[in-house]
Amino acid sequence: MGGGVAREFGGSVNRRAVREGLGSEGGYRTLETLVYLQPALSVGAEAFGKLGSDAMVMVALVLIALSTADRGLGRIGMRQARTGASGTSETDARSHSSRIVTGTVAAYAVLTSAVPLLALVLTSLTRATGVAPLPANWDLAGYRSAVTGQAGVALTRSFVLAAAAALLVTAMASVVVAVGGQSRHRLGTAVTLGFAIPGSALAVGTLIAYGSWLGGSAIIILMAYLAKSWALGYRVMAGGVDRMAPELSQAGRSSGAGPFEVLRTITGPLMATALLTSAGIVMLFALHELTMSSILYGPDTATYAVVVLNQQQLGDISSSAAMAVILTVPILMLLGLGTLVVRRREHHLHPVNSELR
Amino acid sequence: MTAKTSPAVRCRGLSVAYGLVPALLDVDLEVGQGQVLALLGASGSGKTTLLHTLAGFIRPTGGEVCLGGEVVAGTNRWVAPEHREVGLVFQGAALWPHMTVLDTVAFPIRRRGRSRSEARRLAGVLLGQFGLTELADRLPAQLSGGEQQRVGLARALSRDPALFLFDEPTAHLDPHLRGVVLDEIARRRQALGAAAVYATHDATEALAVADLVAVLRAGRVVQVGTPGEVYERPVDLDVARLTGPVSLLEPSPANGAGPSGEARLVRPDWVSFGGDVPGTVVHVRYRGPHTDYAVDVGGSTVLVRETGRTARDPGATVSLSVKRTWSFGR
Repeated sequence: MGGGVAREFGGSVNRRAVREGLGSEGGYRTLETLVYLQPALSVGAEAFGKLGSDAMVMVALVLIALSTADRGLGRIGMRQARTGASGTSETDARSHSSRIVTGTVAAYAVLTSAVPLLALVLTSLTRATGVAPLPANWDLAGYRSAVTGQAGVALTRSFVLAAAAALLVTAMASVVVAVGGQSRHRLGTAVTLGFAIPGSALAVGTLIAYGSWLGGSAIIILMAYLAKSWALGYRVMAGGVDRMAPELSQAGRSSGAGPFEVLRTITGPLMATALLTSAGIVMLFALHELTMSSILYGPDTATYAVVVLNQQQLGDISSSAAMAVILTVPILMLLGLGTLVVRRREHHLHPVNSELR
Repeated sequence: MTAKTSPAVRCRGLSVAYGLVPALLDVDLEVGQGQVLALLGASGSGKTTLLHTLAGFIRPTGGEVCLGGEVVAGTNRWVAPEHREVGLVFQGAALWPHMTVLDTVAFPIRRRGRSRSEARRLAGVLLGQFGLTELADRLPAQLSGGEQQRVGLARALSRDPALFLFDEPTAHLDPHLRGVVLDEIARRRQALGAAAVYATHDATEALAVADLVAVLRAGRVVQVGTPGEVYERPVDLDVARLTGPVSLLEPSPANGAGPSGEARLVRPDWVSFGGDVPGTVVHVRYRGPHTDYAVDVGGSTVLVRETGRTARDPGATVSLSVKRTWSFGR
């Protein structure tokens, strides 16, 4: 629970899209939106100094939260694991409370996700703002503009960037977990830093360090994606390797297979789920990433999420809603496909057959 | 020719450390061709480390390992696990979850350069010898523990090794399955005539399967001998306790332990009821095929094992015949 609070704190400090869409309009500013505004207001030394200090405050906030959680919660978790489960509540009571919890979670999901998504889909289909979202008023103009012209190019760019980030992070993580040995555990702690640093701080840092060479190019956006999503992909891969008994690859070696043969025939196939999950998570992250993209994009390198935000700020609600739907559909499809593949695989490797056990 | 005349395994001054923590210290061992060496020791004594060093998963920090006369680990010499003629049977079978039984057994045959179809055919023959043909298309998750371990044994056999390494292969099995798997192991190994190193913490298993027993403690070999030697003439009390039930007779005129002033070791099968040493039954444990009696003899408690059902109650006055004793100082 504490871990969840710490992660959500870090994530909230990072997240800009929600605040940008909802808060800025009402003059409600946060550190994150201020960081975004600073370079937009001026490129002078004073603004950059302020920008740097704002970014550092955010880094400090996240690091304090995560390190406190790491130190404190680890001990609590260990104590609880030692104590063991001691719950003795009645099955009926548990079933009743389970129904209440399920109902509450379902209501929460409907209110926070289903209703806004429905509103989004209806708005994307409705030809103008203020018109009732009824079938009589539906057309696909918003979708046409969402996939043609600059928006279409941005959509392709986003997919290419996301796919490149997914591929690179998964490949790098595979190499590290395969050859990292004991040092990869220390590395695991180090890579969390990339995730903990707020997106705006990371983007500003990347801009300061590499802006003169790569500013305005898609490569600088990709670099930021790699830094930020490395922890996501690496953690999944490391978790996959940690769950795999070392005896499995040892059995391969003692059966006459060399290290690469073992990787090809044993470790690789067994890590397929982790590979897929790692690539999927990084791709999803990169597809909807806004904070860093909006700071790093140039005239010809806007990502789709940036175009969605710009359209929304220009007041073109119908188009931005259609774009948002287009951005959401592949994510849902990827999630669904990933879940299906993982479930099928798990079912194949661990069929339920109590008679045989 | 060297392989035929040299010992199957020879370790000289073998040392292994995990970081700064020593796991094996100056181990000297030799296993002849066709011999079975049991590594007997408690958890953490270094059994698995020694097996993994022989298999090539761990590089020694000192000393030398020779397999069949060839140095496989030593100064400036290292042979990778896949190039050692070793068949390893793991504690938990370690079957690959994504491979069927047939493909698992065919895997080592494929690595020996056979075609896929030929490897599968030979694996099928081997599975037939094990009576596992019906399981050929199953995945490990669809097998019982005993079946998994037998498939693990078939996989090790299909490598056609000169040396078998067994890492507590029956540790996770039910008692009735242990016997089945142990019999299978003994039969197969004998048929091949290959040497074996068998790690276990179970003394009865070690004494039953081995030609030689090496007792390990804290990474050191504390005694090597035939099962009879280790059981009857243990070097210290810890080895005595590890190799079977044991009692200590403290020196006393009442129990005839002798005037030497040192305690003497007595195994339950070295003592029987009906003799000239008086005693009193302290407690009784019925164990099915036999009954264990703890008998107080002049202040020492001696364990007496008698075949059959309980015939004496606690508090009963008895007399014992002590056929032999063992003194560590000897």
